[in-house]
Amino acid sequence: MSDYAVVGKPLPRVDARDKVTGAASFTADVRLPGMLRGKILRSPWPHARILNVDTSRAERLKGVHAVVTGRDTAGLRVAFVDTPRYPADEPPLALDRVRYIGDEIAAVAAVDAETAEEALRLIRVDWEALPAVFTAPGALAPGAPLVHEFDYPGKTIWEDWGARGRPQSDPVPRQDNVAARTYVEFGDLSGGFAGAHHVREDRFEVAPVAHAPLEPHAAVAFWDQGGKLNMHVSSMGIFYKRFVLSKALGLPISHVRIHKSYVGGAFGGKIDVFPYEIAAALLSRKAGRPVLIELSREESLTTTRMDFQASVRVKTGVSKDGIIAAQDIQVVVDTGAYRGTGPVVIFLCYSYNIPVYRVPALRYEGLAVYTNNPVKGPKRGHGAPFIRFAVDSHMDMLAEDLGIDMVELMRRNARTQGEVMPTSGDVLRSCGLKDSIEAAARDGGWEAKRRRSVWTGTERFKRGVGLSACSMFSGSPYYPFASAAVLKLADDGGATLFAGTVEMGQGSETTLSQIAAEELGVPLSDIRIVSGDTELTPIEFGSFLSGGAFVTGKAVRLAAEDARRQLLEMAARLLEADVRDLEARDKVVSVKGASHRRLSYGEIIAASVKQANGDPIIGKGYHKSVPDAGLHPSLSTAKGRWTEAYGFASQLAEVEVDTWTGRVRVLRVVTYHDCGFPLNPQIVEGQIEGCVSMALGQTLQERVDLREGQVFNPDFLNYRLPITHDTPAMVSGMIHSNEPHGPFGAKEVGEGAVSGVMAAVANAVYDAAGVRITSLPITPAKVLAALAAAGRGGRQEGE
Amino acid sequence: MTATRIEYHAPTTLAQAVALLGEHGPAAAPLAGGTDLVPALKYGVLRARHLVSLARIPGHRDIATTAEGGLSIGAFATLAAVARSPLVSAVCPALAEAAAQAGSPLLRNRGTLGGNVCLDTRCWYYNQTEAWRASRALCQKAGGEQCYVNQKQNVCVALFSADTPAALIAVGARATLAGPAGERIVPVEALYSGEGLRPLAKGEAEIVTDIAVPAPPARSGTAYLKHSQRESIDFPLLGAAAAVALSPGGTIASARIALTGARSAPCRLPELEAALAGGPVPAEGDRELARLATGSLGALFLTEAVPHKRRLAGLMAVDAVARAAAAAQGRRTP
Amino acid sequence: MKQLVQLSVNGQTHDLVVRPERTLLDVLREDLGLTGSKRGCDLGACGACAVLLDGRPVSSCLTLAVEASGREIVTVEGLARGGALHPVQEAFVEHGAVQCGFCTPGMLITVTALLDEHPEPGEAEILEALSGNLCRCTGYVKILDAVRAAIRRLHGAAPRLSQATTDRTGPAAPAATTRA
Repeated sequence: MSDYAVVGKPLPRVDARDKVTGAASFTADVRLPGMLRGKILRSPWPHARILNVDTSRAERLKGVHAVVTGRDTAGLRVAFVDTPRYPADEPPLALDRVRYIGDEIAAVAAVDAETAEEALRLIRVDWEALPAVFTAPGALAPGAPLVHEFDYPGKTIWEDWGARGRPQSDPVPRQDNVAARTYVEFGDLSGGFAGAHHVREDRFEVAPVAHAPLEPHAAVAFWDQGGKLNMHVSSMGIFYKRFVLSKALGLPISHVRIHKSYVGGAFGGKIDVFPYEIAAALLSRKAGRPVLIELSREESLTTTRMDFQASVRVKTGVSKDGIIAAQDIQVVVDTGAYRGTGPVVIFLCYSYNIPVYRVPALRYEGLAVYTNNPVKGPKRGHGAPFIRFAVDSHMDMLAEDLGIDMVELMRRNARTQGEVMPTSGDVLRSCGLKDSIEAAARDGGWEAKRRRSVWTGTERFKRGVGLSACSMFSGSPYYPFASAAVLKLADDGGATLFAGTVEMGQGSETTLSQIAAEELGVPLSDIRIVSGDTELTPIEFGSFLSGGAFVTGKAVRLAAEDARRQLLEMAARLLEADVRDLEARDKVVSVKGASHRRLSYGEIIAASVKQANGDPIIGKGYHKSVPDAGLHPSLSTAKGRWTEAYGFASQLAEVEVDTWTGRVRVLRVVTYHDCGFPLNPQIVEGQIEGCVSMALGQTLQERVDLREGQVFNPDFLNYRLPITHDTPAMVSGMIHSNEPHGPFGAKEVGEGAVSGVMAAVANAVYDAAGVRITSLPITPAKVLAALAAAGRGGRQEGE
Repeated sequence: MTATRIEYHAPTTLAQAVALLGEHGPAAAPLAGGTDLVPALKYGVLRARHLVSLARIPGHRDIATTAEGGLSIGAFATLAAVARSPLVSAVCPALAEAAAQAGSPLLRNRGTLGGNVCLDTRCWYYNQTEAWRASRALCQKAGGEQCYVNQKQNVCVALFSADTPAALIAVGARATLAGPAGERIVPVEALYSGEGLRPLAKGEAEIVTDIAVPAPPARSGTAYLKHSQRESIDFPLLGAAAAVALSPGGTIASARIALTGARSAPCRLPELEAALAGGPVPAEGDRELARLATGSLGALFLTEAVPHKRRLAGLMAVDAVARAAAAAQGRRTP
Repeated sequence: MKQLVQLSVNGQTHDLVVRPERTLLDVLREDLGLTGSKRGCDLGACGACAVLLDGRPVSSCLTLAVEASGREIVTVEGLARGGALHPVQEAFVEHGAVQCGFCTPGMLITVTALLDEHPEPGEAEILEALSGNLCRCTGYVKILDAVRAAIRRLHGAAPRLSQATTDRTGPAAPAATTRA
């Protein structure tokens, strides 16, 4: 294990002081002279035709400065996925049709929030109700009403990025509500099943959940005299966002600037291009004043993006020893009224699953289906939670069928270093999967605690353990396809790091600063970071694709290496020594073995300015997200290089089931996360702990209560996030697989410790109480019903 | 969310407050801690446009024991004060337990006992924003014609979900009301109409000012059990309070049980009370008694969160009795 | 009709004229420029807006500004003294209790109030005291670590923020867990 000075150390975060004093500025904290408040008028209907929108009374209300409607955005469609196959489908403001409760129709900017709300009440809309569909099966049934009647091919974003386009054409009539389909097949499927010793098939259901970061979505827009749009946005991926905003508003990229704001959590829910962001920009332009739109908690929960409702069917054939011979998986997701990230999640349910177990023959089909429900987007794991819940619950059942211990079954099928992924060709250059399985089982007390409960016993509280594993990528070929970083040295030898990362809680400002400090040979306190501003910082790939540490970290390391190299070269000249004989540490360069021959960084920089015609020493670094891949792999076939490195995690849950109330209490979660190398162990632990907490929420208590397209629990009283009392004991271990291509061996952390929790808990509930719950969340009612059905109802029988 | 425009009054005496409420009738509401009223303002469901603050009225905040050994609690005392009072814990543990579990610590620092006793009923269709409710015609409680839950009888079934009234009713507490006709004292139980629409049976201009808990009989005990998804913040999906007095021989001399979260008012379980009287102390989980208890409950609504609500209510009632009896066995007469 | 209010915030008094339906959170953020207190849900269910009112942590989004008139208010901006962080703030920084930072101001308010009232709360008391403050990032683990660390540091060292006045009736009884 190398001995680093800064990386690998649990140093306090560089943004913590501002955050504990209330000085840290979030988007809704921005105050600009003359700033107006914006509000959005939304559809109360899940599916309706707009006959007329009359904003005249709203426009006349005192204090109203601008009103925009679908007429102001006519013809414009936006979407996270905008490809020749899946052209953008969401008008920022509806012109003729609304497709879900909450769909944006108009926006108002006024002197204060109250006036803006009053103005919304004065907008009159005439509607014609349309038949609606609220489930994926319902939407797929023959004769189901179409959520979208047409696709609108045009010059899509992917074509802007180099994908081959299709000839432009008129709107294409749609035949069904299939928003996207992914299909993968390889190997001898029928032969694999035919020759299998044992085959089983299971079905699983996952209810939609909300990201629910503590900071609701918000955006500030203002235009400068030169017609440049400036924004603060509670967003992820500012360079991606700048691109889509510029395209949506018909502006050159250089005419859009996103300024730095801290982001109060995102978890995937803030990457998409949102109508309210476009509305803020349009209102501001019309009013000639800055506009702040703060979404309410209800709007943030129900009208931005939420996680998918998913149905998963898994069928696996295994040998007598439990080796997977063939697998057939189908995933159907309700993607909501617009495509959202439907096409991506069904690609990911394949891509996040395939690195875990070896599968020689596979058929995988994913369908994303339009419904008149709220729109779905990526939530921490983006598909991995449901597919891993399904597959590892199913594996636990296979293990029982075969009489093989689950850990042993996992061991026999787990992938190892060097394996090549079937459709992408990605190589697992580092793979700590097996080590993580062993460690989680060991620290979780698997041997001692497994099947501790006798199911037919009458004791009220029953305990058990369960295990699951998952994998996560570290960035993929997606706009802006690379990260770059600049390191500007200061007179005193400290440095300012310019990196486009958005600090949303994941600690990127700190870990990137640590990388720069390590490479430059200075303490962390000597690095200042300028982040998250599209004007001031170079392109950044975006941690929304789990590429923060891996891609941007690499760029930062290279920038610091570049600066260091320049320092040493100048020092070599000044000290009349060979560069190879120099060492740099603590802001001093000295000759090895002759430490009296030394110069401080400050002296070297001053000399450089004087002698090198003003060169103040600036380091530059950049890294492409997947160097040997062009554009993102095909979403529909999963063919194409996808990522440079995979992270892995294994998670064990110990639960106690109260057989009288059905309540499942999680006593302990042990996570072993192969993150390559923890750049800051305290931050990595924090990410794991947060992932586990969020995962437990989805597994046990969170559910968006959707009834006929309306969210019945759009607030924090009834959408129940975990509280302090819900915190189990947690062990957050790290496997150092030292990814050769990662900065200091690091790869992703921040998403990967979610998806092993679901099946770990479900398997633990089975171990404890002998009931198998195949749908999330695992509620007390479901547990009681299952116990009753199994004749183990204890005191809950009859009534 | 911006709140509905209101007029604010800050009387400095009870008489002024009562007069203001009388003057404005249904257009006025008393403002105690505001933890229920302010959300209602933001949701746009509060009918009142005049808020009569109780904050500047002195008194009615103390907690004291009476000469007989009961409690006198000012209704303007916060739930936090009631929860942490050693006097309440000693004389009426069920009330301390109920107050300690109402809402969250932040809410308990503002919410008052009187406010909790007078808590409005709640429903999925009612406690929602204006924008949310625009997806359908106004429900009955919001001023419309329709009950979306009880569509068959079309009668509002909004649920009563406050914690402390269950405990207060179990011990037979009494409330002092200050009103235009002067002061009157009624059992807390009599404060409730049983209707979801207008759950309080007091005059619009009456204010609950004090709560009196009778001295607990010798060999008696109380308990409050709360069932909710989370251990804080949440309203009770069901709450069960019991007050049990034991005979010298150890059998149950009397038992009073009250539930909250089951209907539009807190409710007693008379059949269970009758069955217990004179009999042995039940064990927790006694199924037969539980079934008896739930038999008296009638139709239950808004049970999506707890599909087995009827069964659970019976079990919780019996468990509350068992725990109250255990407390009685441990109680030494003062 | 607008009301004249006098708000004492972090030791400074402000005379304001406000509409009565405006909450203390609105007034702090909009009228006084104190944006440290956050709007997480606006309905009192998340704790991000917590401030001290006469020494007790309350949800400022449910407190009408007019009701806070004449009372002592402390926000997150008032915790540090002369540039020196409060020991609780220090503990949060050291123990990784801050990720996105949005829940942090409310969390700090609740923790400092707890430790002012109970210098050495037990585990159950800590969990209960913070149970109304939501955090989506940390899973609470390091927040609880920071609270325990703050307790260790605090004996004798921390300034009391303000005296809780009105309804203190004695030492708190531990919350009974009477869950079904």
